[in-house]
Amino acid sequence: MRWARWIYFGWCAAAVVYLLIANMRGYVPFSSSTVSHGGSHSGAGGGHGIYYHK
Amino acid sequence: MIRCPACPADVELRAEGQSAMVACSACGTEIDVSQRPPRIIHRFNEAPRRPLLPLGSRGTLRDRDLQVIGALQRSDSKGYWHEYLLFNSSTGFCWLVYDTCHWSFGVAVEDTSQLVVNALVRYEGRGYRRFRSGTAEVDWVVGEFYWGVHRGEQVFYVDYIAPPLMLTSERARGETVWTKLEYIEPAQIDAAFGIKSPPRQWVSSNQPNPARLQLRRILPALVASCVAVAAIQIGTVLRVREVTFPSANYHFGAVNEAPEKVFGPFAFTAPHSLNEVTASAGLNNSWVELDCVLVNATTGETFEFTDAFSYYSGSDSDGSWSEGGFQNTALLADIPSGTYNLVVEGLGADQSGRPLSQPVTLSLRHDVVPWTNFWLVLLAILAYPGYLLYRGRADEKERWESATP
Repeated sequence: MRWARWIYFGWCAAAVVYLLIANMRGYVPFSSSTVSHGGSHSGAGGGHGIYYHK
Repeated sequence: MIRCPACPADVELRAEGQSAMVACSACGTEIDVSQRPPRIIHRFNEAPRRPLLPLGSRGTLRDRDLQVIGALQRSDSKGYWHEYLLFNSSTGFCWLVYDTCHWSFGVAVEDTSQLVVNALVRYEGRGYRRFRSGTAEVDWVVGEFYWGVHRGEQVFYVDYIAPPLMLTSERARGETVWTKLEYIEPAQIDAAFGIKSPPRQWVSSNQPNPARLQLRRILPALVASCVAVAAIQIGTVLRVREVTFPSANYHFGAVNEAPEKVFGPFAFTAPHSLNEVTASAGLNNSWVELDCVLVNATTGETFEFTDAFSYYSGSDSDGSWSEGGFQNTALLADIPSGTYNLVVEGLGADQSGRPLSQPVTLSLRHDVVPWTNFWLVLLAILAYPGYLLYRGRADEKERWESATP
């Protein structure tokens, strides 16, 4: 079981690094959003910085 | 070296002058060597015994060069075990006990005045719990011994444990002898004597609890990780901005009509952030589904998500029931800084398909604390120690199942 100690040590280190990076980026697993890069959306700006209320 | 009086074999004396008897390894005949000429105690004529540690084999244990000079098997109602007598001309005699694939190294307790025997035995500052007792009988003997042990000899024994230590008292013919045993890893025996011990099947009486031993080994990594995780999360809580924008209402349209409405602009100032969009409404046997798009007003980058919830209630033969809820929160992760608009197209209806008359309230919180990561990482870190805790308890249960009152 001695090798398990080092696997656990690596596992903990990876978990801590994950937490650090994920928290810095505001990332969470199972989030609700899907990203669409570079697209545009009708009436919502589409790169022109305009918005309106219907 | 003497000639066996019962068979043609030579019998080697490895502790000559200190041995009281020897059992011929060829025929098993027990010979009294405290007298000259040697005298037969019990004559046997059986196949040679092959103990796991061969007679005459040498090894170094506890910084002592030891030679195996005798072996015997005892048994009681629970099973059998082997006891090996080892000899060093400077340090004298000691024991190796082999019991169900486990080894213990034993030395006689010379000064029994240090023993305090109650329900718990205290010796050299440690408390030993009574573990097992019974009457053990010698099944067979080979090699030489410093007392007149013989086949069929019975002793009443009591084992007291404080893993990895064990104290054993053996009473026979009105005399009580105490032995202190210490658990020794089979790999050490294998390395010392060049043998291959069988794999261990279960936890023995004085074996250190393997899971708790492992828990102690990983404790530094566990503590360090928990400290690091707490520090990172506290730092995150202090760092995030947690901006709550004013809430707005979304009004539904006619049947099957999902009017598009745009809310904003919202200034996301954090470089990368987690954001929450909470939709809530006082539903009653109705549902809401909002298709939302968060649009970067500068780049046009979009983040699509759905906020849906429903609430139903009623009563049946089992009583009243309800399911669902009055709100739902969508998490928008890893959103870059910028100015955003929230575009919403929603549908909502009751059981009859009528559009909802009351609006849905939308609340947007920018740069919130990502607690999901914290709990997941904590779970990942604590899962193995948790398993070891469980395993440790199970091992102790297994250990004490072989105990006797």
